Amino acid sequence: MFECEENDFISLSELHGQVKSRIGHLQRWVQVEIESHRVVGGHHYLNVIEKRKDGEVVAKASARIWRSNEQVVRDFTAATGRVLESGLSIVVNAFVDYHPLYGLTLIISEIDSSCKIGERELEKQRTLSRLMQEGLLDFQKELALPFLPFSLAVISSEGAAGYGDFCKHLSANPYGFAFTHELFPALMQGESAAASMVEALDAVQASGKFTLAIILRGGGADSDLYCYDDYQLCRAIAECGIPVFTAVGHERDYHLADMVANQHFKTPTAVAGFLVDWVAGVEEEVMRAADNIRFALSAGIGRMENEVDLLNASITSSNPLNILSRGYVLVSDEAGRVLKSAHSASKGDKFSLRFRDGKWNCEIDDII
Amino acid sequence: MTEKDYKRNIERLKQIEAQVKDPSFSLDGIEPLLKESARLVQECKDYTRGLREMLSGDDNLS
Repeated sequence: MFECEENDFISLSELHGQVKSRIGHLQRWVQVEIESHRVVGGHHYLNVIEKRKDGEVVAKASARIWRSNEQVVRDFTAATGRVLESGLSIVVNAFVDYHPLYGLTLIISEIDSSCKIGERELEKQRTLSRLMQEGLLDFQKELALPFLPFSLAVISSEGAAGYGDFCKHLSANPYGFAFTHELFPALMQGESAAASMVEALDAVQASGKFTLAIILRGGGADSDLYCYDDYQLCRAIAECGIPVFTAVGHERDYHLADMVANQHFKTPTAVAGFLVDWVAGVEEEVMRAADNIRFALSAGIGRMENEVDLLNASITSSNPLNILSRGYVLVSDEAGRVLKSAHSASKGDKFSLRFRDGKWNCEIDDII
Repeated sequence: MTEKDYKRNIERLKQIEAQVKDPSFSLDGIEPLLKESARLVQECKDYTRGLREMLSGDDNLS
């Protein structure tokens, strides 16, 4: 075992202390591009990067804007109309904090409001303008959804957690609905992802079997998601002959692919929930229609029953023979017609006295 | 019995009703009419009961 004198080494905390000491008080204006941004408890947590022109990330750091200094974010938004978001390039005044446990963090005290939009963001704006000029933003919105979402084409990566979440959520739906979906594997992030997804979309359309296509991913580092702002992918989605849903990332991610899609969802679980609710809604509608038909049929039968009862009651109550059972006698002529007046027959005419249990045949002896 | 038979029965019952209410109609002819109407009413009731049973059968299916 290596043995050494106590003075030959230092503790890790001492090393950190020396690094911190050598950094000293370092505060600079720095240009950074925001890779990700989230707000927790009023504090802003950012990952910032520097990229070369070819897009490769050459530097990365964590950064914070503490809640006590949040006014700088509000001032920045008020001055530029921009919110802190992925892809935005900004110049910040940052103090370098070095912590033995958490490493190097930039504590941002100011943001230059004359910021420049990051190159990726500029490219995104150019693609958006092109899509708008070519009228591709609304193509998908004009497609009618199928009556039921039962033949689904899923464009995703087999091992992706998002795809797993989607399948799990669909199969475990509380109604027991059975969904049929087929995976069209594609790269879902990185440089080749857009072309891979376009190829998968082409395959979906060529099969002619599907009424709905879903592009599924599920979060990840924002810098990996630029493929969802790719013009060719957006065009392929817009021009797809069947509705395309996207569920690309989490709440913070919003891409051009989402804008051109028929509908977009925050997560794969959300799109699965939508599909389940869709079928449940149709089922409820069908059940309601069946109830309405049943109710209308029942009411119709009720009217028929009523009609029969009324006719039966009317015939029974109109029967002149009913009064015989109460002890009365009916007088009728030879033809059986009821005689209601003493002067409706003449002396010598024959008539009948009809009792409950028989009749007497009589002759008029005199009319008074 | 069909719906057409049902409608025919109803028409016949309406004729009987008119005849029974007609004071010039022979008392001797009423009893056969009453027997006929009782038969027609029973047929109609059997028919509507059958319809209700069919409807409740649909309930069970759903």
